[in-house]
Amino acid sequence: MNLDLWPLEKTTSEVFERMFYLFPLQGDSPPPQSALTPWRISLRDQEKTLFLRGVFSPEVAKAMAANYLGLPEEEVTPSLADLTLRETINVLAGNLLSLLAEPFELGIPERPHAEEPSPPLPPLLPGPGIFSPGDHGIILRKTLDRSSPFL
Amino acid sequence: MGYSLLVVDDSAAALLMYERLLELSGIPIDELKTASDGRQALEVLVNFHADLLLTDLHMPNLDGFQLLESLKSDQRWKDLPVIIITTEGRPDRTQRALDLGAKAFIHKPFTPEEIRNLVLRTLGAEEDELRPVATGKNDF
Repeated sequence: MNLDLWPLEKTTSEVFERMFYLFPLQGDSPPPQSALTPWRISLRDQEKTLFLRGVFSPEVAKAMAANYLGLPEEEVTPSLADLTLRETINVLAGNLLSLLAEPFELGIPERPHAEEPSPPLPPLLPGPGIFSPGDHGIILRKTLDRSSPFL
Repeated sequence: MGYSLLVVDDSAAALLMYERLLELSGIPIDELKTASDGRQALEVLVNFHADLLLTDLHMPNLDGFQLLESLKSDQRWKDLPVIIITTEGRPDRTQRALDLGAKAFIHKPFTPEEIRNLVLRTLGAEEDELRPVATGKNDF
């Protein structure tokens, strides 16, 4: 199942700007898989369940938490960074729902089960197939522009 | 004299952020308590007089809709004003919460100024209290 890409791009940009004062840009290479911190949330209707999956490197997670919670980066603990990522995927999914035509019900943010295989990396954005049926999720493969004059 | 607020959300990060935003907003607050879901909120209210309750809709155990139903059906809390904090802008959910007695909505993410104006308006504050507050990363 392919959906338009623009709702996710619009949502990501708006949420990251307002929550984190960070500006997502299209990346040219994925971060290393070993350093990723995944959270996911389900979007369900009567026929299917999709998952929005956020994958963040520890460095990005720390920057997000610092800006979200108004703390210096050195005071951001792994736990605070993790809580921020959970909230991020929740807010992203909620805002995304507002732009989708289908009446999905939102789940609760969760960690993918340890026994589940990692989803294959999707094509770089922009590209087709960022939504997949079943548990294949989405990876927001975008970088954060930390050189923004707004920071 | 300040207000007593109860904020309900299952996200610990969101609760931390609300505390920050409310502090920055300049709303006069005497006491701020938090709860992680609707069930815990009802437990807190037994021993805490809140002037206003802010709640997420989407929570485990007792969600925002169920919390509203519980509040409005209980003589102790039926007049407690409730602001819904939500990530979704779906009209059907908005209308359902309003039908259940919610006073207002605020859409996440929001700024200190937005929450200040909404909280004070909901509490019946005078217009001159609704002054702008600074927002932005450097204000944290």
